[in-house]
Parts: sequence; C-alpha cells; structure tokens
Amino acid sequence: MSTKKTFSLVKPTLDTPFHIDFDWWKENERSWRIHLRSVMCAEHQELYLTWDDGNMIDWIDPDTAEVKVVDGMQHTLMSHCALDPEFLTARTSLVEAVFRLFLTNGNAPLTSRELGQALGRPEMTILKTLAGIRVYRGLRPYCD
Amino acid sequence: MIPSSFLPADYWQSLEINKYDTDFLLSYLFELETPTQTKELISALVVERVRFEQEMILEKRRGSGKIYLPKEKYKIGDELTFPALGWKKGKVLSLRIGKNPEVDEFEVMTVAMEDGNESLFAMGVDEHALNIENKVGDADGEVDLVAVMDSFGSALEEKLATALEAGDELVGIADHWFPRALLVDVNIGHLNLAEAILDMAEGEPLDTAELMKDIDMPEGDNPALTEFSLNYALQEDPRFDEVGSTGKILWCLERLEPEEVRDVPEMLRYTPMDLDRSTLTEEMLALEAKLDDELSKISVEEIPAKTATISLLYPHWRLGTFPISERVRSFFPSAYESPRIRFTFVDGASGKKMPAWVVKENSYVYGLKEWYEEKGLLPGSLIDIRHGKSAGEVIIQAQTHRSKRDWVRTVIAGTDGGLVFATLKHVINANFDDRMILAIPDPEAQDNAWEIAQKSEKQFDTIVRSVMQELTKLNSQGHVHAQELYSALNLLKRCPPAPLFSLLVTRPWAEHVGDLYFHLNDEATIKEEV
Repeated sequence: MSTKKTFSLVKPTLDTPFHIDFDWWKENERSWRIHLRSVMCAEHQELYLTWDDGNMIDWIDPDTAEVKVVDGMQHTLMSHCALDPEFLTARTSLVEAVFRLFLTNGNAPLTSRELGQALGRPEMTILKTLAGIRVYRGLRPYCD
Repeated sequence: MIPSSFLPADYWQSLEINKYDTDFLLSYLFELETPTQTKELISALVVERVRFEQEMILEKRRGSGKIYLPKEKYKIGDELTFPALGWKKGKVLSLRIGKNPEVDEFEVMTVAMEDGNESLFAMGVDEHALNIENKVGDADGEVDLVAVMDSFGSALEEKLATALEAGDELVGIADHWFPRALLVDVNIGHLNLAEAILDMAEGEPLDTAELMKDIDMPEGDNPALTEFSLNYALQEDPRFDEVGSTGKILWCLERLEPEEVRDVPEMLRYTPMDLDRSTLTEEMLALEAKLDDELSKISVEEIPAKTATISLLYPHWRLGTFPISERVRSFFPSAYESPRIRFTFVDGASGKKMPAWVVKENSYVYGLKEWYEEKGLLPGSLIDIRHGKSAGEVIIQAQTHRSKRDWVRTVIAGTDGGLVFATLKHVINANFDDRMILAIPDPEAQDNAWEIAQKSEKQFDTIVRSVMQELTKLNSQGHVHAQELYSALNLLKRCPPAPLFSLLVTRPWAEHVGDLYFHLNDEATIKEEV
C-alpha cells in the first residue's frame, strides 16, 4: 500500500489551505537556505553569507533581554527583510508573491481565497497555479 | 501616562487624604502662585501619589538583590531580580557564548527562575533598553491619568475639599484654593467700598472684576491672586453673598437679596413625616415621579430631556416660585458653594428677561410672581422650561392660549379657614392639568385659611380627610383622585405626594376603587371616631 500523502488525490478548492512544504525542498534536493538567503535584503544577505556558526541563533528580546534560540535567517527575514516595502509589491510574480507572503506570516496556512485578498490578485488564478501538477517553491496544500 | 498598575485595585477608592498630601499641595501652590481648582489639585496629587508609591516599591525591590542589567556580567550562583518580568527572581545556573551575527560578543546565561522554569538571558550586551536604569518601572504597566480622574475624580475632589477645609493653611472659594500666607492684604476699607458699590447696584449682582475697578486694591504681579484675595475677603464678611453659578463669581449684598431667597417662605416649609415607602404601589410611585414636587427625593434615571413641563402647585403659584424637582434640576444653574444662585429667566414667548434666584438647599426658584400674574396663570397651569441660549439663562414659557371661559374646580375659603370646592366658570389663559387645576377667586381669603391651618393642632390625617370630604362633593360617585387630593391638600399644608399616598393606602377610611381613585368610607370614619 502506498504511503504517499493523500492530498494529491483531493482536488483543491478555493477553501483548501496551502503552505510551504519544507519536505518538498528536501525531496527535490533544493537548497532551502540558499533560496531563503536570496530573498533577504542586501545587508542581511551579506551578513549570513559569512556566518558559519549554524542555523540557529540567540535572539535577544528587545524588552526583557530574554534569549530565544531561533532559526536565524528565517527570523531575520520575517522580522526585518520582509518589512521592506520592496519585499512584496504588485510587480512581484504570483508564485513569488505567495511564497513571500508565507515567509512573512510564519508559514501559517492560507486558502486561495485568503491569499487573493491579501495579495490583491484573482483567487481563481492562484488556485489554478497552486493546484496544478507542477509544484512551485514547495507551495502545496496543507494537511493537518 | 503614568504607571500605576502596581497599586491595589481599590487604591483610589480607599485613599484617605493625609498630612503628606496636604503638605505636598501646599508646596505645589507655593510654587505655582496661582489659585487652583480642586480638580487640578487632584491631578497633581494623583501624579505625586503614583510617583511616591512607585518610589517606595522600587526602594523595597532594590533592597532585595541585584537587578539584572543586560550590560553586566554575572557568574554561576548569582541571584538576580528581573524588573521587566514582574520583578521575578532567579539564580544563574550556567553560562555559554551567545550566537547572533547581528550582536557583538555576548554571553547567554541559563537562569533557574523562582517559578521553577529555566530561562535564558543575554549578558554583556551594551545596547539594550533595560540598561537604562530608570526604565525598570515601566514593566509595571501604564494607566491613563484621565482614566483615574474619570473613574475616581469626583470622589477624590470631595475628599480633598473636606481635608483642605479642615486645615487652615489653604483657603478656598468657588472651588479654587490658595495658601493663606500668600494672600494679598484686603482691609476693611476695601470691603466698605465694595459694600458701597453693591449698594449702588441696588441688589444687582456684580462680578469681582467690576468691584476691583472701583476699589484701589494693591497691585501685585499676579492679578488672579489679587482677585482671589478679594473674593476670599468678601466671602468671609457676612455682608456679602456669592451668588454666581458654577465657574462664575458674582457678589451681592445679603441684605438686598429678596426675603423669599434669604429665608424659605412659610408656605414652602415642610416638616418630614414618618413614611414607609414600601406601602406605595407602583402606580403611586409613577405618579409621584410625574408630579415634580421638589420635596420628593427620588432619583431620576432617564436622560434629561430638552424641554420639561410642570404643573403649578398652589404654594409656588402664590409665592412666585418654581419647583426644582429631580427631573428639572439639570435645567437650572448650580454652584460649588453658593447656597443661592442668581440667574435669568427668559420668557420663551416675548424674550423678556427676568432676574431669578435658585435656592439650592431647598430646591426652588424665586422670581416669577409678576410673571404668573401677567400670564394669568392658576395653580394647575402648565409651564414649559428649556435650556437658555447662554449659561445662566433658562427659558420659561407658559402654555398660554386665547382667553376662554371654562368650568374648573374652584376654592372658596371661609373666614373660619374651612374650604369649599365648587365647579365654576373662570377665564382660563393657559393649558392646565385637569387634576391639579384650582381657581382661587379670593387669594387673601385663601392666605387666611392657610394661616389658620398652620396654627391649628389638627392631625395630618384629619386635614386630609376633611379636604377629601369636600372634594368628593364634586363627584357624583364620591370618588377623588390621589392627584386632585395632593393639589388641594397643598392649599392648607405643604406636603409632597408620598406621605399623602401612603396615608391613603394605610387608612381604613380611604377605600381604593381603582386607578388611584379613592372613596371616603364613612362607616370606617364613624367607627374610628367612636
């Protein structure tokens, strides 16, 4: 019996949630971290290019000085780079825009309807793009 | 914004003004050198109280161990207090090098917190908000000063005013306070001049600035202080009376005020009777609220309307007064201290202005005698009042119409003080309440009946019964409505509705026949007399 996930058999609708599937990046031998760095701002791209002390960093809370161990690039991307107005614009391609939106929201699952509203793009176009045979940037339906 | 969440929830409710507070306010006013309102003093006091309490807590906390600062370095075993985490305490368990490409070299310590959890903290970090020591209090949260004032301002003002009045270092007038020691000297010569100026005004109140124009007051740097000092001196001299409404100071000579304002007229005086309000029915309570008797101490929850209509009661008609019931109170000016307030009635029909007085403690207005006569009003006539266009003005308008002759309840007073009621034709000039209307063809005879009733030793019960007996003669079924009886009873005795209504439901001689109509039960009367 196949152990593959069943979501590929279900036809996604406008209310099917999507997310970035990190397994897809592993399965497809893509370098997630290299791609992640490529979407960072120039300052942080340079900073993380020379950083060789692992993926996890000690993030210091600006109010309490408590330390949380977090994924450095992802945290920096969400807390800094993604705040740049140029990070996500009307000119950003549809797939890239959806991908970047998931980066900024901490990869919280969103439906095509919600993505359409957030990005100001047609929800049906988003659904057709994400529900097609080809998987872009690991954007796949989300299963609990 | 001021921090105060560290204070107990009932801190402001249970606050007692103490010597520390009054000393602080004394110093505050010494520095300010300007007479200041109670509300402003409360604002200053709230800020000071918060500062003081916060200082005390910080003092206590500082004494209990090292306060954690990210820039410092600590060793294993150190005991620390974390102000940004609600002053939790913890002990350093281990240290390691910190990793963050954006922060220069730093260390991370694992701390065993007092609640049993372990947390990581940075150390050796030069740039962090917590390094600024005065930031430590911010973690206690913040509250708006306006919120404290909105919730507790009135209660605090009352407490403060009481405390300041009890002391003798500050003097207060019209809700403003100032140190006695800094007052400008006002001597008897100044006060005599003020009396002469007010004498010339013939009872017309004047404000302090007008008085100062003609009094050679010592010139100081602060005119507000000179004015305050004169106000205070006038207040302390019994010849003068402050009669301005809230926020406005007006002076009048006490001896030139109308007699009906200085002393409550006999006809409006009421000696409270024992009353069990639980005896009153729902219908009676509703009627009581509608009758606008200034002696009915009932609370009104409805939102004040733009206009109110009242029906004149005999004593008010005779004296030229107007009741300030709870329902109409908001239409009239008030004052912080002045027991008597001078204001202006404006005739809504003609625009004519009439001076009038609010007698605050006894809840009536004086100054309408001529106007009632001019309009041809009767007890029971309907009068509208509404807010004036400017502060200190109230618009009054009788519901007048073209004169016509109509059958109305008429009072005939005998020389022995006895009253007889008859339905007779009279000239009517205004709309009236059917149950309140009373035509009085001979007011002097009625005055005589009132005086005899005051001297008489008749019990309340007996007076009510005799008035009821006379009124029943006007009705073929012998029924009298509670409101008709209330209106007629006040021809002989000032009485609010509640004691009368209570009497009607508790006496066997008054039989309720429905809709607040009562029948005089003769058998019960005879039995009682036997």
